[in-house]
Amino acid sequence: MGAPRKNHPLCRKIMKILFSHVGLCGMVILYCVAGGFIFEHLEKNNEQQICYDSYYEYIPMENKTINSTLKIFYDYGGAVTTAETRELMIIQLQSILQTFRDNTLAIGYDGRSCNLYGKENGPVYEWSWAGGLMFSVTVITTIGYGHIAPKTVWGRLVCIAYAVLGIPLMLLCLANIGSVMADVFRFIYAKICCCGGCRRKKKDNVVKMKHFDSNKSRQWTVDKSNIIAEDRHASVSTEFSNLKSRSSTGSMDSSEDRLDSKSSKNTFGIGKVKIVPLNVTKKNPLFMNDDSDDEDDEDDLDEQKITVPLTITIIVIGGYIFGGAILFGLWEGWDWLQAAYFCFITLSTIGFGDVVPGTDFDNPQAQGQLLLGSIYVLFGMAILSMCFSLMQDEILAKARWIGLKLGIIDKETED
Amino acid sequence: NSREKVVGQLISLAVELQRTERWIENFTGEVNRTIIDHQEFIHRTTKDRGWDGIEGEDEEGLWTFASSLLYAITVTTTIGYGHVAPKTPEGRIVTIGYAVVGIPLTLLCLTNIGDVMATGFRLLYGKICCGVCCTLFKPRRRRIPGDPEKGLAGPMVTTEEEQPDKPKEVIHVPTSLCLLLIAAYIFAGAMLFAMWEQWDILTGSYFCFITLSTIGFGDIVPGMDSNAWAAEEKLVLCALYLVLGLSLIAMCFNLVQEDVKAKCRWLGMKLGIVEKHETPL
Repeated sequence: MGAPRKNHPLCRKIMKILFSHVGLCGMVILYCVAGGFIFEHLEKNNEQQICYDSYYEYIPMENKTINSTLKIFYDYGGAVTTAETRELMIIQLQSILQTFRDNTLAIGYDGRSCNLYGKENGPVYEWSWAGGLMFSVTVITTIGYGHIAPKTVWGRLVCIAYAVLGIPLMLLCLANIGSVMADVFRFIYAKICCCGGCRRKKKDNVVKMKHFDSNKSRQWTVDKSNIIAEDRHASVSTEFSNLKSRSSTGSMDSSEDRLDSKSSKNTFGIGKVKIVPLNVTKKNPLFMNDDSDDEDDEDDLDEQKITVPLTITIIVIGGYIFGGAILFGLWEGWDWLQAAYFCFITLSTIGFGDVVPGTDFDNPQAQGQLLLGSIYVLFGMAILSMCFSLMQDEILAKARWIGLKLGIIDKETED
Repeated sequence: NSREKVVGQLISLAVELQRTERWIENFTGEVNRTIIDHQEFIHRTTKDRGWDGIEGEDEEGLWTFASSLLYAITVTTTIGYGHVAPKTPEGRIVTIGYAVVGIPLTLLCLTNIGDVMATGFRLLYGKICCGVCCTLFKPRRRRIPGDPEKGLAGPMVTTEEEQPDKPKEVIHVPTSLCLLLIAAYIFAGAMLFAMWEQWDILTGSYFCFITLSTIGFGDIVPGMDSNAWAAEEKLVLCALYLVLGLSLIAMCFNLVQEDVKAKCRWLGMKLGIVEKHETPL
C-alpha cells in the first residue's frame, strides 16, 4: 500500500487535486463543455440533412396541392359566381386544404431555407455549441428537456454513455458542494443570528464583572479566561452563580465576604498555578449554563448545535425560483407564470422541455440565453443540494415527531 | 377557422382575376402564394400554441385518461417527457402543486419498496447461492451426533443447520449481478417496445435507458400514435414498465450501497487520496 505512494507522489497529488471540492466542480464543468462539443459535432450535420430530407418530401406535395386547387377552378370554368358551383368548389377546396395540412404536419418541414444554415439570414443551428452545452447539462442532471434530442445512431449511443458516466459524477459533485455550502451557510447564519443575541450577553458579563470589582477582592483575578478555566471544582461554579445572583440583587453582606475570601483563596491558589489557554475553554460543557462564559465560547458551541430552520431553507429555494423567474421573464419575454413554471420544472429535474430559454432563434441573443440557462441550472442544483443538506436533520426530526403523534412509531422503538 | 378564410380568399381572387387578362398566370401565382402562407401559418400555430393538427370533432385529443395517467407518473417520478404538457395557467399551477406533494411521496414509496425488494432478493440469493454451495460441498458436511465434548471443541464441524444460518447475516449481493439485472430489464423493455412500436432495438433500448434514468427526453414515447392499435393500453403498459423499473433501480441501490462504498474507499486508498483511517468525502 505504501509503494504506490512513494513511487508516484505527483500522481497522487494530481488525484488529490482532482477530487477536492474545486476539482470536482471543475471536472463537471469541463465534462459539460466537452459534451457540448461532442454533441455539436455529432448532430450538426444531421440537422441540416433532416432539413433537406423534409424539404424534398414537402415540395412535391405542395405542387400537387396547388395543381389540384387550380384544377378545381378550371373545371368550373367561368362559373364561379353561381351559388351551387361555389358550394361545390368550397367543399372540394376545403378537403384539399385539409389534406395539405395533414401532410405538412406529417412531413414537418417549416419553410426554412436549408442551404442557408449557419449563414446570414439563414436558420440557426439548434445544435450549436451552446445548444450542445445545454443538452449535456440536461443529461447529467437528469432534467432531460428533449427540445433537442440526438437523432443519429452515434448520437444516441454517445448520449447513453455520457449519461452513465456523467450522472454519478454530477451526484458526487453535488453531494460535495452541498455539504460545503451548507457549512458556509450555517456559519453565516450563526454569525448573523448570534450577533444580535450575543451582544446582549456581553453586556451582562460586563455588568457582573463590575460588581465583582466593587466586591473588593483584590485577590480575584477578574481575567475571564482563568475563571472559566477553573473547571475542576463545581463549587467554583456554584460560588459563581451565587455571586451572580447576589450581584443582580445588588446586596452585599458579610457572608458574601466570607465566601469571597474562601473562594478567592481556592481559586487564587489554583489560578496562580494554572494558566489555561483560552482554547481549552471551548470544551467545557460545565460552563454552558453560565452567562459568564466567554463570548467566543458560546458562539462556537452554538455553531456546533445550530440547525437552520426549515422555513429559511424553503425561503432560499423559493427565492431562487423567484429570481430566476424574473430574470428569464425579462430576458425571454415570458409572462411571470410561465417563467416561474419553467424554473420550478427545471429545478425539480422534471424538465418537460415545452418552455426552454434560448430556443427562440429569431432572437439574436439565443446563444447567450442558452448559456445563461445552463449556468442557472447548474447553480440551482448546487443550491438545492445545499438546502437538502440543511433540511435533513430538521425533516428527520419532524417526521419522527409526526410519526410519534400519529402513533405509527412507538416512543421506545424509533426507526 | 383559417381554412375557411383561405378558401374564401382563393375564391375571391378567382372572381377578381377572372375579369382580367391572362388571369391564368396571375391566378397561379396567387394560389402559390396563398398555399405557402397557409403552410407557414400551420407551422407557426403548431410551434407556438401547441396545436397538433387535431380538430375538436375528429379525435379524442391529446389528454385522454391514459396519457394523463402517464403524464402524472412522469411528473411525480421527475422523468418529465414533455410530449404532453400543460398549456393553461391553471394546469401549470396545479402541476407545480402536484409535483411538490408527489415527488417526496414517490421517493419515500420507492425507498420503501426498494428496501422490501432488496430484503427479498437477498433472501432469494442466499437460498440459491446456498443451495449451490450445499450441493457442491456435500462431502464436507459432517454431523456429530450429540457428543458434547466434540461439539464444543470442534469449530470446523459444519452441520447442516449452521450453513444456511451463516450467510443470512453476511449476504452481499455482488454489484455485477445488480448491474446485470438492470441491463436485462432495459433490454427486455427494448424488445417489447420494439415489437409493439416497430422500433429497432437501439431505439428501444435508448428509450428504456432515458426513461429509467429519469432523464426523459420525450422525443420517442410509446403509444403516441393515437391511431395505432391499442394506443391506450400501450400508454398504461409504459407507465407500469416505468414504475416497476424504478422500483428495481431502488432495490439495486439498496443492495449495492455497502459494496460501492467499500469499493470507493478501496479505490481512494489505491489512488492515495484517502488515508487509511480517514473516510472519503
